[in-house]
Amino acid sequence: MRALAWVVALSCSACGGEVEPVAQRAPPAASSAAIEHEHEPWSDAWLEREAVRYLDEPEFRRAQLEASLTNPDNQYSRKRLAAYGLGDRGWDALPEWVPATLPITNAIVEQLRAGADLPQPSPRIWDGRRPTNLAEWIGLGERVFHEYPLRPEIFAHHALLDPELATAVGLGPERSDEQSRWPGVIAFVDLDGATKIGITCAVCHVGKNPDGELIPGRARRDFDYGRMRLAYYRDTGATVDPQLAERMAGWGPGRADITDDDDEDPVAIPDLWAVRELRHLTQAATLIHEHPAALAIRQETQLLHANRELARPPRELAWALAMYVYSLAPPPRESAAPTPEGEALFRRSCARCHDGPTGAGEPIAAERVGTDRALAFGRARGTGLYRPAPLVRVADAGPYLHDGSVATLEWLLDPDRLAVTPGHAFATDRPAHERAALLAYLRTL
Amino acid sequence: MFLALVSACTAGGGEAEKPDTKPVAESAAPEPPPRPEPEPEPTTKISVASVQMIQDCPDPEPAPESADVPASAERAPAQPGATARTEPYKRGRAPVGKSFRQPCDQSTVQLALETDGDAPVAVEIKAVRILSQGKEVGQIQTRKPTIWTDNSYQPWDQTVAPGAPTKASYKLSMPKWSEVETAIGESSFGHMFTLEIDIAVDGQIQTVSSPEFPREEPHVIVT
Repeated sequence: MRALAWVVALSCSACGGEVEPVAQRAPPAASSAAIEHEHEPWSDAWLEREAVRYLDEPEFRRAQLEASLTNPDNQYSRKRLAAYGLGDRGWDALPEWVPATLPITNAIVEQLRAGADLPQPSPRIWDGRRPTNLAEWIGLGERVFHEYPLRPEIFAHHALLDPELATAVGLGPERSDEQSRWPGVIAFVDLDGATKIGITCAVCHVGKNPDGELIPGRARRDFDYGRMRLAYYRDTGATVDPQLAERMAGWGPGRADITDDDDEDPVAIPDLWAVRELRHLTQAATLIHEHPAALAIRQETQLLHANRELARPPRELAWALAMYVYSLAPPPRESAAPTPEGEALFRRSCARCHDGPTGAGEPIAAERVGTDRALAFGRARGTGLYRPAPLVRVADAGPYLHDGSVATLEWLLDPDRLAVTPGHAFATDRPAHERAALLAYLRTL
Repeated sequence: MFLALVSACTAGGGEAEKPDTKPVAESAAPEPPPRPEPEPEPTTKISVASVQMIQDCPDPEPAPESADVPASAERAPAQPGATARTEPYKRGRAPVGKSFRQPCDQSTVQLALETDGDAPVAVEIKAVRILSQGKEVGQIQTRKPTIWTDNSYQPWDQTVAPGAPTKASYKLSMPKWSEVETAIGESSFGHMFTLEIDIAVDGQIQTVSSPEFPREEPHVIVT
C-alpha cells in the first residue's frame, strides 16, 4: 500500500459558520526555516533542495517527525517518537534493505498456475545512485511505488493462482498480453533470503478508470482484501478466529482495517490526487503535511514497519516515493458544463470546510462530523478529528466517508441515508432541486 | 578482559620507581621510556534497533542447503531466469499448484552491536523482560539468532567481529499475555511496552532497553 492513509470523511458543511476548524497550528519551525530558501516552498526547485536536508541532516528529520504528528500520544506517534531519528539506536540502527524484485506478469502467472516455482528476482531495485533532479526522483519513486515490497503476502500468492478468485478480489493485469504486469504484485527476495510473493503500494493505488483502464494514483476500489484472506483460509484449511473472519467479511471491496490495534476501524482506499496540495494526511489527519519530509518519513517508517521492522529502506527511496506520489494526477477529461447554481450552493454550504485547492480544508472535530467515531478516537491513529475529504474527481471517488460506508454521492446527500449511516448530515436538509444542483457541481470537480 | 600494563624499570638496580615521584635525573642516566597510556579496555556497544511483537510462529524446517550456514557464508549471485528457493509450505488444500501454510507473523527483536577491540566478541542473550512504565510484567525467550549479511538475515553464531557494525535479529516468544494484562490492568493491545535485555558480552552482562512498542494484531495490513 502506499504511504498515505486512506480516505477521509467527506465533510460538506451545511451548517454555515458553526463548524470551526480545530487543528489550527503554527507552522513547524523547520518549515519556517525552509521558507528562507530562495525557492518558493513546494515548487519543483524547492523540492530538489529540500531532499538534501531530509537525506543528510538527522536533526532535521527528527524535527520534521515531531512537527508532523497531530497527536503525539496515539500509538502511531509514540512508536515513531520512540524509535525514529535517534542516530545510533532505534530504527536508524537497522540495516538498509534494497530488495531484488520482479514484477508479476501474465506470463509468470501462467507458469505459476502450471506448477512452476517462483522465478528468481534480479536485480535490486536501486543501484545506490542518488537522483540529482526532480524528474529522476520521480522516476525512482515510480519504481518504489510499483516494486518495493510492503511485506510477503501469502494471501495474494494464493489468489493469483486461482483465476476466478483473483478476478473476484480485484487482482489482475493491466492488459491481456504476456508481459503485462499485475500492478502491486511482485516476486521478491525477502529478508530471510527466500523468494516470495509480495504486495506494493500499487496493489491499492492503481485503480480502474470508469473506462476500465488502470491508472496509478486511482484507488483500486474493487480490491477486496478481506475476501482474499478469507478465501485463503477456506481453501487451505488454515485456521482463523471466527470474529476476525466476520470482520474481514464486512470490509468489502476497497476497504480494510489498516491500523495495528484491535479496534475495528476499516477505511476506504483513497485516490492519490493532488497530495502535494494537502496540508493534512490520512483520514483522521494523523499527519501535518507542512514539509515533504512529513510524507517521506511516513513512507520510510511505513515500509520499515510493514517489513516487520527487520530493516529499513534507504531514505532516497522514501523521498523518491514521496516525489512520485506528488506527481500523480487524474487523467485529463473534457471540460464539464458550468453549473453556477450548484457552485453557489457549494460556496454557501460546503466551502467553509471543503476549502483550498483540493477541497480538503482544516480538520474538523469528529463529533461535529458525526460519522463513525472509531478511527478518529482509535488508539492507533486517533486525533479526535476528521479531515474534510479532498474533492478532486469526487464523483469518481465513491464509496464516501472515511470508512467508505456510503456508496454514492446521491446517497450521501439523501436525507434517508441518515437513518442507515448517520453523520455528515450537511446538505441533506436541502430541497431536492438544490441537492441535484450541488451534485451537478460536484461532478465537475 | 584485562589490561596489559607495562611496568617501568629503573636503570639503577631494578627498583620499581613511582613515576610521579621520580626526581629529575642529575646524571647522564638515560631517560626511561615514556610510560605508555594504558590501552582502553575494548568495549562492545549494543543497542536495540526495533521490536515487533505480534505472534510466535513454529520454526520452519531448514532447507537442506541452508543448514549450518556460517555467518560469513556467501551466497551465489542470483541468475536471471533461475527458479528460487521458496518457503517450505506444508501440504494444504490450495486449489492450484502450491500448497500453503498457516499464516503467522513472527515477533522479533533487532540489535546493533559493535566492538572496538581487535578480537571477535561472543555475545549471548541471557534474559528478556517485558516492561510497562518501567515495571516488569513478563518474561520472553529469544531464539534463532541471525545476522544481516548480503541483503538478508542468515544464521549467526553470535560472534561480533571487530571493525564493522553487526546487525542481528532474534525471534521472540510471547509473554503470558493474561499475566501481562493482569499486571497492567487493561488490554495488552493499544498499550506501549519496552523490553529490557540482559546480554552476556564475553561473559559480562550488559543490560539494554528497547524503544517503546505496542502489541500488534496479526490480521491487519498496516499502512
